[in-house]
Amino acid sequence: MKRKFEFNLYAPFQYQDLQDHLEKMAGRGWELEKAGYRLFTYRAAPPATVRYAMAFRPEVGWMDQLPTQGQEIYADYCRDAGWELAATWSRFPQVQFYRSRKQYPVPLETDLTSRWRVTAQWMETRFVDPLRGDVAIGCFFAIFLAIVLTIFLAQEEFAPPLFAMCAAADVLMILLVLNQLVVLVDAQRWLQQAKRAAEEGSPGPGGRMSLPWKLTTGLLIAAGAATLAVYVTNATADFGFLAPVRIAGAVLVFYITLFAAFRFRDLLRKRGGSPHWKWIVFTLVATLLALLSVELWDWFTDF
Amino acid sequence: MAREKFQTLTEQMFYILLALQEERCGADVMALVAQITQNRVAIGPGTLYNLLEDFLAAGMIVQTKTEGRRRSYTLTQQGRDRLLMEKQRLERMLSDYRHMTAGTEKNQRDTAG
Repeated sequence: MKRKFEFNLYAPFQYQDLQDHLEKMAGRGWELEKAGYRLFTYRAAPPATVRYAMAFRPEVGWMDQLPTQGQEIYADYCRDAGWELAATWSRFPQVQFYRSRKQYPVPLETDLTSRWRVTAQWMETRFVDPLRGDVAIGCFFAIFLAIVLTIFLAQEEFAPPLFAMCAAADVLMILLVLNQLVVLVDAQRWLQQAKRAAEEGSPGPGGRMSLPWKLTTGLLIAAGAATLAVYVTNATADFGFLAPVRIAGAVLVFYITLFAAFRFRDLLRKRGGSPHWKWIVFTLVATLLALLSVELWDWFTDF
Repeated sequence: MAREKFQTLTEQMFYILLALQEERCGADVMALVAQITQNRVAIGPGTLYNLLEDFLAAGMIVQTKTEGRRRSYTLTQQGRDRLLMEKQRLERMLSDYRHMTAGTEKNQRDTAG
């Protein structure tokens, strides 16, 4: 069967953009098969008008055995209403994608107060709270690195090729901090609106990607590509044409180990047992994979 | 200040409680509400799941039977009281409406006549 893979840039609370995108893909003959950490897999299907909707279940833990009993009951109710389960998001096991081939299906949520109460609860406990910690740690290291690079650049310590690479990396770090702050502000604002909607029974926040989000993400991708291009150019100039191949090998190994870690987490989620033990096992395996990845990266890029 | 939960019932809450005066499972509740309201009120599967969980947690319904993944529920005394309170609230609203529009409606009838 023909398959298509896509890198997903949407966050779950940008639900309208996500649903629209999935519906467009269905219209082009691709239906969602699997929602990985960042990679969405589609399988070929006859082009059709298909409605997609996302369900948020805040009570599902990160390492619970999937599907949980609650998710199974939820899926049964959905089936009775004409919705079939398309995929459970590997990155957020509390989020599931449903699809309906009816033109006007009964929406998953018809009561605004309960919809926004549950969604806001998911957003607060499963997205914003962990995000705060991640952004704080990520920004600390990015700012530290940006300061160090700026000091070296100001002292003109580097020769021109290295200078260009450090300048690109410096911009990349600054954009990373900016992007993470935009993500946090957008998520926080959305959460406040969702909480208010749960109180008032009002339509609630929209699920669209904001302009600052789009801008900073676009710039971040461009800066990342520029840094890599400068790195590859420098390496090729100094060490010949084998250097880009070795860099490509290092990047590939990095993504394979990352993929292996996520696959292992998905396997753990299929098994029963204590979530605490699963966390311990996953942390051990992820640490080993990270060490292996660093070793292999060193070996590949040791010109 | 946060509004007290179930202070007033939404249409979906009201009809789910109304349907659970007799023991029913979720799918039956969805079908019955669509039938008695002639599809005017639709209960989405997500809403049904969330509200049943909320009513259970609030002690307004109780789980009576589990057949595989199919669970049946019925109202508790607390649920019945809450439903009755809502009925009285709706009756008071209707009575207020009648009281406030009695003169207007009479005038409209006289003008039309």
